[in-house]
Amino acid sequence: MQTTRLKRLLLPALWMAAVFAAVPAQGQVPRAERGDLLIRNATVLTVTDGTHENTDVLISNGRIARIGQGLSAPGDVRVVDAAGLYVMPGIIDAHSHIAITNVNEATNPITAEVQIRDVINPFDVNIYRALAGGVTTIHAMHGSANVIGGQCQTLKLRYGVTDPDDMIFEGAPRTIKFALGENPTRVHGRGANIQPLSRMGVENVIREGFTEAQRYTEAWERYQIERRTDRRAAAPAYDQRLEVLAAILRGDILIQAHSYRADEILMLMDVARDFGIERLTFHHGNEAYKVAPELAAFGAGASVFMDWWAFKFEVYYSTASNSAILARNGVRTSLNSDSPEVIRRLNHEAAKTQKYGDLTDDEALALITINPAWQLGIDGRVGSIEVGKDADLAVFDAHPLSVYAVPQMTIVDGVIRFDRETDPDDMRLHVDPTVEIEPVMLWHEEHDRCMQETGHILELLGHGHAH
Amino acid sequence: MQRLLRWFYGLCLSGLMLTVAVEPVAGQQMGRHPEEFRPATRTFAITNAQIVQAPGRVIEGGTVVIRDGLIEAVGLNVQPPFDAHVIEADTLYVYAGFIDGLSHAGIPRPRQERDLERVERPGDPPYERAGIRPERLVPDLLVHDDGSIENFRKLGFTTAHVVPRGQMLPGQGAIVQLGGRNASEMILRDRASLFAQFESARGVYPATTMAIMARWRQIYREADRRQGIAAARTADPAGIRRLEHDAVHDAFRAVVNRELPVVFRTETSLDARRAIRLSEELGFRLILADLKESWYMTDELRDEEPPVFLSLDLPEEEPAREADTVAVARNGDRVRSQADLEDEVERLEQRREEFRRQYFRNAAELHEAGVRFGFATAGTEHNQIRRNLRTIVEHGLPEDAALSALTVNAAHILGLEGQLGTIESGKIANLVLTTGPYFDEDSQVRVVFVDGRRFDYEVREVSDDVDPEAEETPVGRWDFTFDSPDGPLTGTLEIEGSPGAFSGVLALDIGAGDAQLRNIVLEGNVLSFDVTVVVEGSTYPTSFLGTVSEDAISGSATVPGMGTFPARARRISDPGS
Repeated sequence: MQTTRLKRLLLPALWMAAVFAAVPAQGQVPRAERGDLLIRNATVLTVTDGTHENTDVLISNGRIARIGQGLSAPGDVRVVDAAGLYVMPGIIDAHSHIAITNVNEATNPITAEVQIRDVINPFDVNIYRALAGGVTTIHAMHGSANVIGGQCQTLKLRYGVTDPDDMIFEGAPRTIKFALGENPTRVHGRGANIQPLSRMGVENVIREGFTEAQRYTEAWERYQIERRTDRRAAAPAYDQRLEVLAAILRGDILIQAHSYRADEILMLMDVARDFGIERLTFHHGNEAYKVAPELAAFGAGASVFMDWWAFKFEVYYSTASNSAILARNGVRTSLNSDSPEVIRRLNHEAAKTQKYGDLTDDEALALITINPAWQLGIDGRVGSIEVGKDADLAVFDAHPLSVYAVPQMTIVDGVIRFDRETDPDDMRLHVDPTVEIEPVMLWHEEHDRCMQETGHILELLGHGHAH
Repeated sequence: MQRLLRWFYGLCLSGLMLTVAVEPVAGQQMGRHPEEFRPATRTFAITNAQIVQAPGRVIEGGTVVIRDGLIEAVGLNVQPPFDAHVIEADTLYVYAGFIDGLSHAGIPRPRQERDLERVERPGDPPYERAGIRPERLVPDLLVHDDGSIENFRKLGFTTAHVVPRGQMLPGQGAIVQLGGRNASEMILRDRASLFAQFESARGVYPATTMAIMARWRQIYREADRRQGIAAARTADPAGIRRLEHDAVHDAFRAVVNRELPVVFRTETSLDARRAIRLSEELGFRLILADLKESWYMTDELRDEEPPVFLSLDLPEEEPAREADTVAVARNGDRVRSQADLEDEVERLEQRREEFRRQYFRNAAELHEAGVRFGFATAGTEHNQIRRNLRTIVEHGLPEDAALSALTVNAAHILGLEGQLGTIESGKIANLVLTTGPYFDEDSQVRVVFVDGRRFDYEVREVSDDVDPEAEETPVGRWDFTFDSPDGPLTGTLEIEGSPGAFSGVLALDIGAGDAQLRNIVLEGNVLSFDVTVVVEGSTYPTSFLGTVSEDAISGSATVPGMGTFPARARRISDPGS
């Protein structure tokens, strides 16, 4: 069973690696610093190839060059003595809203044209806090106010760079946020009295959007043909929103759908089949376990909370065994944080699956490494410790699934971005000198970050605050 | 009372002066308001002056001749023409008028933000509600006698790249001469830029920065498409359906053609990089304005493409903290208990100071990297500008470089170097005459020429004015005039009592009732008081400071956050009654 599982894990990885090989190499070279490093005598948790005791990992130019015993490196390469320490692949959070200055463009049911890439904030100190939890890659997402929200951005946590572009996970596929259920119906239906007011409306918004995108594509194709014979042919109106929806239909953009209920999950798979969309990842999916076989048959992924629910009506029917049920039914599953706090301890979220589902160590670790990498289309680059992959690693002082494990070092592209040995209190990159320092703790309630920036529109429309 | 005295002496010590605009000499000679007549002569000769022709190029004891709005001659051996009004400058310095890279001078603030109207579809609001008005032009919006123009001219600014106020796309910028009898006379170049900023429309699309970015791409690419169709129809309209009229996309045509540069207001490095990305993706010409954080992107700015106007706004200085003692000790220290809190606050304050200095040093560092830049004031209170310029110079920007930023660099970026920026014959007669080097704390602007039009500023040190022996009294009824930014406010001032026990009221003519004067102090012949005036429902705490000479009081009134404006009073009762 282990070997079949391994094949299942590896095959898509190999397939993605082939896809990446086709991408121009230029797009994959990080603009930011890449490092050399030799980690010695560690317990290496590869996730895809078992656990190796007393093993060295040689990092060259930001990539894993060799894994083995008795490795050596050129004299000037830093050597980390990891005897007694555990090295795992850098943790990947498939659902985050840190490191960005906007979350929701909550004004329209479809805002496919907006891009999280435009609002990356490399100064966010939450990046460092996430690094201190062993996280090396996040999927920075648009919020869930809209049925089709903005395009998301996969980032590497290269804390210290000040150019937002240096944060970008170069070569990662484009992704886009969809949101089903209560959030879009509250914001647009109840908020602005426009479709969608119900789950039926949500489905219709998507179908109409895709249909319009098909018409749009046809109009441009007609124009391209016309132009061959008629130099004076007039181009149809440009519509950036429909351009993006058309790219989804072509398979160029991976859908990441905020969803909770089983019925809406089935609905989106139906819509995807009707429009020929092959890849879907359902986020949150508190009721995904009810439709695990259907998800597996579709080949969809699920990126879920470990044990967070009952914060609104559509998330009452939940279980802490959700992720384990999904994983054991062949659904590519990940655990995400959706929170700048939970992101610091995703290894413990993964550990809970061993209590609530008896997952093996590798199965549990896959939920926060290779599986979210697959969902984001970056499993050819990260998510496991393999020669040739990016040297994105997290070093713990105990097995990361132990409640006693404390992150010691986090490495991105071979560069040590967090080191517990040198971890001063004030790690802010930028300080706004106009902000007064208050010698008191300013406590504020944490809201659902998915709904950030929807407050003003609801207030404007005479409704209360969005939670 | 004690507090006010301290404040008053503080003013004296800091060398703050009363600056009172006086009417041009030509007008005065005729005894009439200058605007009603043509001036007797439009020829001036400024003699025996320290002429700073260009940064680093000084003619000592030289003469500048101005005729009909242009500089006719400049040099050591220039003779004043027979018809010239001669200004014996003697110790005065003469500079080319300063050029402001981004300004709202002459564009009044909307009285109050309009109530946000509810729109049917927040995702598709009308252009105006979305803040998308690229077709708006400065000549239609400029108020030639708006107080802000005087405020900037008084600082030595004679030309400004003026842009409309608004949100994402407020309109097109114009090069404006800061002085003239009407808007048309002041426009040096209309349609000089397309002005853009990351100001979202509240509650409707684009409500976020990321939607502004998307909206930009959409408008630009659609404008590009329309351009192609329009060109085809111009060649031969037959068989091509006409495009619906659309002012927004039509206004973008000049941007798509690269005729019009986009001046993007970007205070932060993140915004500046966003503007650069749009420009690189779409291909338009870009100028960054009001940037405060160029140190994060020196490499990107090194080749001066895009050109930059740095903001003159700076964080407030913290007087208690000595800048050079800052040694930030961050490593190894940890807050472990409540007892460490003071140390922690101190460390946080040190980091704050570190960044405050970084903002102060921003211009110096860009200069050290070999980048030429100008300055912009759109985000700066006019009464902070001279102090901030001094702070920038004190933190390492050479005075010549600061002067270049204010003159030649700005002229170059805006394509005005043929007509402005230096004192050379043939150029526009925009000049600033100061009592000493401009960046000295004590030097004052005495005369400003805009297009050869003369504006005098009478300068007196308050401390010189204090005559402890004077036997003036403020007691009585006075006609009071305050030159507010929205035009003159008039009223009646009544003061009674005796020194140490004055009381009084100010009744404005617009009928807000009597306002009690507070802290009335007469020091020799210098009168000061505080009063809170109510105009159209808004409350303005105001401090007045001026000198009394028999039946006249002249001075200024300061409204925090708005600035200092001339104020005067004329006695309408018998002295002492």
